[in-house]
Amino acid sequence: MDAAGTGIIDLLLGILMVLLAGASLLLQQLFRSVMAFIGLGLVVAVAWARLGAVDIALAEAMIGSGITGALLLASLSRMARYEGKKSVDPDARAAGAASNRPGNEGRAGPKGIRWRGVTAAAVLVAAMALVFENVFPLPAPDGGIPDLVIRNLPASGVSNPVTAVLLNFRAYDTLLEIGVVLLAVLGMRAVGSHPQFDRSSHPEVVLAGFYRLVLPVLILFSAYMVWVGAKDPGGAFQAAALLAAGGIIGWMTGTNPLARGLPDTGLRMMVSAGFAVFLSLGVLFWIQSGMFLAFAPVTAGWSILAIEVLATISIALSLFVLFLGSSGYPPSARGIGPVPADREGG
Amino acid sequence: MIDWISALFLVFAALFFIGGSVGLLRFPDVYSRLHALTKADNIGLGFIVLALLIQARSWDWALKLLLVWIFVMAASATNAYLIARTALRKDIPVWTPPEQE
Repeated sequence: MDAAGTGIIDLLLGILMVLLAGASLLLQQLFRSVMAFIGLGLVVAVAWARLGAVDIALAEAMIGSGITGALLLASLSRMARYEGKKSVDPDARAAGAASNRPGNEGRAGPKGIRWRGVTAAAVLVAAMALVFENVFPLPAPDGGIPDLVIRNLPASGVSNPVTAVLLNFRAYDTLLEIGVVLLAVLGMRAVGSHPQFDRSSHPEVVLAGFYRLVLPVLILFSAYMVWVGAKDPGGAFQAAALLAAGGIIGWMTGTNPLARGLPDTGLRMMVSAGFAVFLSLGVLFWIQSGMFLAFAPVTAGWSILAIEVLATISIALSLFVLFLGSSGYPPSARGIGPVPADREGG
Repeated sequence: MIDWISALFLVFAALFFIGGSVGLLRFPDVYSRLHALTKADNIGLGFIVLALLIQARSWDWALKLLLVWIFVMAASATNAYLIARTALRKDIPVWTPPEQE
């Protein structure tokens, strides 16, 4: 495609991104905000792909849009369950919110929001113009950091420069990222409550069929993502998002995939395995070479693969557990899954 | 020649997507909107896949493109069903044509 054509697509992507970001912040109906946020994630993913950052595009689409979207929707339905029937209807919510503001009655909300949205968009466009002014004479790539990465790639144990940076040169960042996911699970378990679980009385036949169709593909693709991360875009977070998505769909069909066969100790070990092994390897190399996380070139490839595989399992389980938690069904002391009503608070 | 065939398929795809979008905006209730959206988009995507398929450089590309289409169709059919069922359970009324005078 010619330069003008791609320019138009990029411009549209940019405008869409700002609009969706504004919508997800400014819309009064939470459900619509969440939808705008999911849409924003997809547009951002396309933008990353167009910038050539396929790794980030995948992560953004899968985690930023997919899993986070599921988390937000789950929280939303939990809120609706807590607040009672009236807030299930988004229009009722908006009307309630609007009537709370002085000088606004009932349905006056949407008009107010439109003006605020327009103002915000105008401010954003002005700000963007300022930023573009400063950014667009982009400094010519002087080969500084990218060059450094490429030169040291053979020592990293992988041939995908992104993976080399994420799991070797800047392994510290990734270690902490995996730690953040672990912390989120710990925090959720710490404050976990055990509300009622009103399982749908209708069997989820269609969804179950879809689940049977996609689950093997998700697992296969997830394994491929981990393996291919060494030389092509892919990696633990993307692979984990796929597995977690499989878990979430499975849960939606009414068959909690982990309800049986995974005791709480096992769950805890698997959730923390990625971080634990990453940290141990880091310390091991510290003892060996005197530098934390300084992988020896000979074993770096295997170290990274081991970390990625375990991190995938840990992150996938964490994301799934977080989803269960935000929909109000944290793993109980008796294992993962919904708590039977009669045993609640036991 | 192949480029022209691809372009033709892409135009067909765009027509179906436009049709689906118009249906989404203009149809009277959630059920018919869903119908317009998911049906038309599946065919639109099918034409896009077809257009790219004849441009594919190798068999695994072609296979991947076909798989994308199949999985998107499965996902959108499932989604359409779930949304429609939720709408029914929330007693969102089904549109009926107004009485003829």
